[in-house]
This record gives sequence, C-alpha cells and structure tokens, in this order.
Amino acid sequence: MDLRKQQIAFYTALLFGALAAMGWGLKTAGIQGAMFGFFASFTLGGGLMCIWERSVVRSAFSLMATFCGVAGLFILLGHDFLAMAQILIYVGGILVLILFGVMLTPPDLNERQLPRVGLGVVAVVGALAFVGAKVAAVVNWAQAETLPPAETKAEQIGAAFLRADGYVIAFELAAVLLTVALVAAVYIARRKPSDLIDLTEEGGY
Amino acid sequence: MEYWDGMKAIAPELWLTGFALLALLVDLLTKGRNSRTVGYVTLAGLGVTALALMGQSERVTAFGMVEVDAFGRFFKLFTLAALAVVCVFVMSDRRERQHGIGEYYFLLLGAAVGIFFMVSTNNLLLLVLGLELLSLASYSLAGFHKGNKASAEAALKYVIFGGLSAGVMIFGISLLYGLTGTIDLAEMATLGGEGLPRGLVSQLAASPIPVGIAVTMVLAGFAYKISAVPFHFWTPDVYQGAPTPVTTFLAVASKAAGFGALLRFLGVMFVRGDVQGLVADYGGQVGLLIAVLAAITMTVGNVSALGQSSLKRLLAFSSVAHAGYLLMGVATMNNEGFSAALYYMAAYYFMNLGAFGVVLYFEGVNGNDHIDSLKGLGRKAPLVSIVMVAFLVSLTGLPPTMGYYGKFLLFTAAIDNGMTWLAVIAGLNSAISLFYYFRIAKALFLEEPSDESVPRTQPIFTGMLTAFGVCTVLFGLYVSPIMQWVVSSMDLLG
Amino acid sequence: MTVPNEHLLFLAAILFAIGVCGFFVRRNSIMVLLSVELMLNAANLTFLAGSRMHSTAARPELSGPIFAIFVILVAAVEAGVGLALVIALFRRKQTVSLDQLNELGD
Repeated sequence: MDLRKQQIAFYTALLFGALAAMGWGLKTAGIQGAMFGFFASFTLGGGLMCIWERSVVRSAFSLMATFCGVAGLFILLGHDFLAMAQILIYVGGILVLILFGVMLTPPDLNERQLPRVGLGVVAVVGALAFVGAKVAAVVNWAQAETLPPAETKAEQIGAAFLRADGYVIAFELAAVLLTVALVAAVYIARRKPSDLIDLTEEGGY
Repeated sequence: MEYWDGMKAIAPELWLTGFALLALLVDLLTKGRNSRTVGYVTLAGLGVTALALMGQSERVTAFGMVEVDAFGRFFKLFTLAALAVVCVFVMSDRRERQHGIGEYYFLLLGAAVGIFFMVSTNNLLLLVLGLELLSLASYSLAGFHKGNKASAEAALKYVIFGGLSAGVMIFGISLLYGLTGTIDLAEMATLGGEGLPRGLVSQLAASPIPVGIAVTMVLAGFAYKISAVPFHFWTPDVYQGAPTPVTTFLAVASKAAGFGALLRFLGVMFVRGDVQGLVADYGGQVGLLIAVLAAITMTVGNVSALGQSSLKRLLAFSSVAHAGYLLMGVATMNNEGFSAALYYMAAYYFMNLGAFGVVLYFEGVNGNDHIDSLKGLGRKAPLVSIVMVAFLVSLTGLPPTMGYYGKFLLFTAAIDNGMTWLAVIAGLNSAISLFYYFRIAKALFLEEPSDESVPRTQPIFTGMLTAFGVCTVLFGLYVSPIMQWVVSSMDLLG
Repeated sequence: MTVPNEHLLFLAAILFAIGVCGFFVRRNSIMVLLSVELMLNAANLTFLAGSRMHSTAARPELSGPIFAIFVILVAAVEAGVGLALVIALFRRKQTVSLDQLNELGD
C-alpha cells in the first residue's frame, strides 16, 4: 500500500473507532457515556496520530487533540480547575514551546521511513496494555453507583496549597523547581559567541 | 506558630536555597569576572547548612511531609560533603572558570535542595518534586559545556532517559494512589481497610499483582537515579560526556540520593515495625526482586567495564557495578542490610570522589582520559598515582581499605538473610573487577612513560586527594567512627 | 458521571502504552520528549480515577487532583529544559535525530 492509502485507512479506522466508542457509551451510560466516548477517542486518537504521523508538525498538532481530550475528561470528572490548568499549560504553553522547537529544527528525513515498529515494540505495548487491563480488572475498584462525584473547587485547592498541614511545602518546592528550570533553560538555550568555543579542547586543570 | 516551627525544622533547606540565590546574585554583581568569589560563597553556604543540620537533634515532622531524622541527616551531610569536594574540583579546573559560573553553582545548590527533600519525605508528591529538581539540575549541568558536542549529546541522552523513567515512576505512583487512596508511604503501609478499600493491605488481600506492577514501576524511577540495570544505559555516555566535576556529582551525590530515597521508600513501606503483617510479607518478595536486579546489575557493570579504554567510561561501569553491591544490602530488607549499605555509601564517598579527582588531575595533565595516556605517570606524579592505587584497591574491595570492610558487611548481611547465592555472585564479580582496576594500576606503574614532561601540580588539589587516600585506608583499619555514625543514623525503621 | 472507573483506567493504561510505544518508535528527539508528555497525561487520568474512587461525600480525597497539578508542572519544566537541550545540540550538530548521537562511546 502506498502512503496515501495507508493514511486514508488509518484515519478511517480512527473515525470509526471514535463513532463506535461514542455509540457504545450512549448505549451503556446515556449522554455522559457518549461524552466520555467522545473525549476518550480524542485522547487516544491524538496519541495514536502523534506516534503514527511521519511529519513532526502534524504529530505535534495531533497532541493538541490529546491534551484537549484529557481536559474534557477532567471536566467530565468534575475537576474544572484542573481542566483549565491543563488547557492553559499544555495547549498554551508546552505545545507552543514544542512548535518553536519543531520550527527551529529542520524536518528529519529519517522519520520518513516509519516502520521501526519492530515486533519487540509491539510486544512491549501489548504487555503494557495487558498490565493495564489486569490492574483495572483485578482490583476491587468501587462500582459506578457507589461513586460520589469527586469534585475539586479552586478554593479547596488554594486552601490545600497554603495550609501548614496541607501542601504548602510542596508548593514552595515547586517554586524552587521552576526557578531552577528557568535558569537552566535560559543558560542552555541562550547563545553568546563565547558559548560556541569548545573549552574542553584546551587542556584543563 | 505552626509555620514558624516548620520553618525552623527545615532551616537547612532554607539556608541552601538562600545561598543558591546568593551565588547567582554575586555572579551578577561581579559580572562573572571573579568566579572564585562565587565558589567561596557556595562553600560558605554548604558550611552554614551543615552547621544548621548538626544543630538538629530531635525527630520531628514538618508541615506534615518533611521528616527530620538522623537517617535523612546522614544523606544530607553526605550530599554537602560531596558538593564541597565538587566545588573544589570546579574551582581548580581551569576550563570551568570561563563563563556561566554563577549558574553552575546555582544549579549544584539547587540539585542539593532537591536531594534534601527527596531523602527526607514519606510523601510521594514531595519525593517526585525533589527527584525532578535533582534531575533537572543534573540535565543542565551535564550539558553545561555548550560548546562541546559530547557534553550536549550527553545531556540530551540524560534528559530523554530521565523523561522515560519519570513518566514510568509517576504512572506507578498514580497506580499506588489509586490502590491505596493516599500518597503517604506510612499511611499506605499501616492503614487497614475499613469501609473504603484504603491501605495496601486490603489490595494485597484481593490480589498482589496490581501492587507488584505499581511498586515495580516506582522502582524504575529509583533504578534510573542509582543507574541500576535495566535503567543504566545513560550512565557511560553521560559520565563520559559531562564535565568531570559534574560526573563526580552524578556518581556520588545523585546516586547516594537515589539510594537514600529508595531505602526510605522500602523501609517505611515494607520494613518498619508498624506495617501490617501482609505488607511486610510482601516486602520479602520485593526484596527478592531487588536481589535479582542486584545480581544482574553488578554483572553487567563489571563485564562491560572490562573492555573500556576511556577512564570515565570505565568508572561509569564501575559505578553501575557498585550500585549492584549496594542493592545487595537493600535486598535484605532489614536493619542489618540497610546499615551495611549506609556504611558502603560512606566508603563509596571516599573512594569514588578520590578516583574521579585523580581522573580530573590526569585529564588536566594529558588532555584526555584514555587509559593508554596514563602510561608511566607513576614515575612522573608518584604521590597521586599511589593514592589512585589506594582507591582502586578499595573499589575492588581488598583489605586494608574502607571498600573491604563495606563489602564484608554487605556479604555478611546477604548471607545472614539466606541470600548466599547473591554473595557468591558478588564475590565472583569482585574478582572480575580486579582485572580492569589492575589495568589502570599497570598503566600507571608498569609501563614506560611516552615522554619526559613533568606535570604541573596544585598543592590544594593534590593535598585533598592525598587526604582522601589516607581516609580510605585509615577508616578501613579503624572502622568504629564511621560505623557509629551509621548505627546512630539508622533510626528509619525504629 | 456514570461511567465506571474501570473504563477510565483502561483509557489511562492505553494512553500510557501509546506513550511508551512512541518513545521507542520515534527517532526525533522532540517527538520522544512528547511521548513522555503522553505518559504523564495517562498518570493524571489515573490520579483522578483514584481520587474519585476514594472520595466520600463527607471527605473529598484531594491529594489526587493536587498531585495531578504538580505533574502538569513537572511536564512543563521537563519540556522546557528538554527543548533547550535539543536546541543546544542542534546548534552544534545540525540534527535532532537520536540515530545521529554518536559522539560518545569507545
């Protein structure tokens, strides 16, 4: 099969998968099930596209679908603050950063021949999916009827961040983490003429 | 008042953070012209932090997450001591004085803050944040020589493997959280299921498989930090490509931090007296998994080290092998083995810092780190070469050195706990390691020098190396001071 | 929401598997870093599923969502530093392909 046909087959399969997920959700859990199917197919479809697409730009953009799908699932679970953070940070921050990276580097020709999907990788992925299924099936996860909606409000999170018996120390450590990351990234990425001299070539000590 | 008490308990961490920012500020104010000043500021910061640490004696929990205890203090003082030596390395390395020195010290101190938190918390959230802080600082330090292709490549490899292991570890933690309903290790181990299935014990009663998967995934994160198989691939490349002081930092401080966090994770979750019976039994199986990993790790490390011609790569594989020996103590899952691992860590401090210091010295003399270029240096630089032999003897585990006594303790712990097979494998491995350590000694002393040039020396640097050599032998003969410190530090399980 | 928790966990496990697969399949270092983001997103979904399972109406279980916020932060800083390193390498070697990382070794 040539490239074009492969792509058509791949996207058709994704579309039908998404429709099936939504239909199944609608049948088993009503409108919320359909929503779940919708967001889930966004999430997984984006992820699959990301590793299947050969072009880096398309892969990066397909991640937007994943991130938005996950944000939708967050809303469905009642965590609207988290969903907002997800959209702001992932779609607004990380993805833009990635696109900068993609544009600063030229297209990579090696990536054109995808089939590095050896048997080993397929086996690994199969095993992982099996593991996931095992965890989900074996554990006595509570049933849907008994589950209360777990909701977080921004106030609750804010209070937990700042209470001494809450997460204040993690919050502060996150601040240190961000400072270190900022200094590190700026140092590594900035360019001065002197930076390009290979200092290690003249003997040290 | 609650905040104030908590702040007092984490005073060392606060001092360290403050001095990290000060180092950056001083560099800014001196416009990078006076790099020594920044080095002295950093050393002062390490000293103040050490004083603040030694002032602590009571055992408290700050902010509900940070455990201030003697076990954490051991690893914190260890980190400070290692960082002080790394600072001296940086200050005496001509290549490091050129630019960005403020960032260099800032990142080193930032990494230390990460280590401080990761070795002193039972809370998985704080553990992840501390680990990430250490990782991020290490990534950028590994790539600090931007002009050097090898350094940039090493950093990229490091960040990519680091990302994988962080992803796997965080997913494992999320599974643990889903299984137990808490991110606090002590609660996981002690809660028993009333009402909702909280705590590990109810999940283990239902089925041990998911718990095993989750714990294995978390262990992957630790395996990466301590460079245990199968997460050791980055080690030789990063050790070779990174600036040598950074390599020293990664090999000593970062690895010790990984072990500190691993010991606390396993100790609090499976070994402590107050954990539920079923959980403690399960801990035995986790110990068996670690024993297998230890055997594979030391074998892979030693066998790969045999064919190396670059000293830094050789020491990298040797550090993988040492991770295996240390894991042997961890695998016993009791006080004896953990103490042995702690003692071996102290031995590892002296012999590895010393060995990397000598590599730095030879690199300065020869401009590269190939074993062939060491030929005949025993005649040109006798003092450093003799000291290097002491380190090599200790790394092999022969008497009369710290390495010997440490290995003796580890072997005893393994045999006492019914892991004789592991001790046998470790013994065979020590024999293999003799070959490649001897190759270095042979190059130094038994071969003719290729030219007659006499290397320059820096008295402080040579003096420090000699002191390490003396300590390696002295504490190997006179074990009680370090042993006492180790015994008093093992309050983790009590 | 009436969807059972198992489905959420399946979803997270598959997303994680896709991330791991991407990590090993792609040769472009930027895409490899992105695969890690997929894994972290899967972890976040699991955290929320866990929080949902252990919450009661009287005692909402907050540590899951809060952990998820910090995971987003960790993902952001890793992407930032990782990309800085990719760009630094690109300046020296004019490539971002993992296949061409060959400076190191014996």
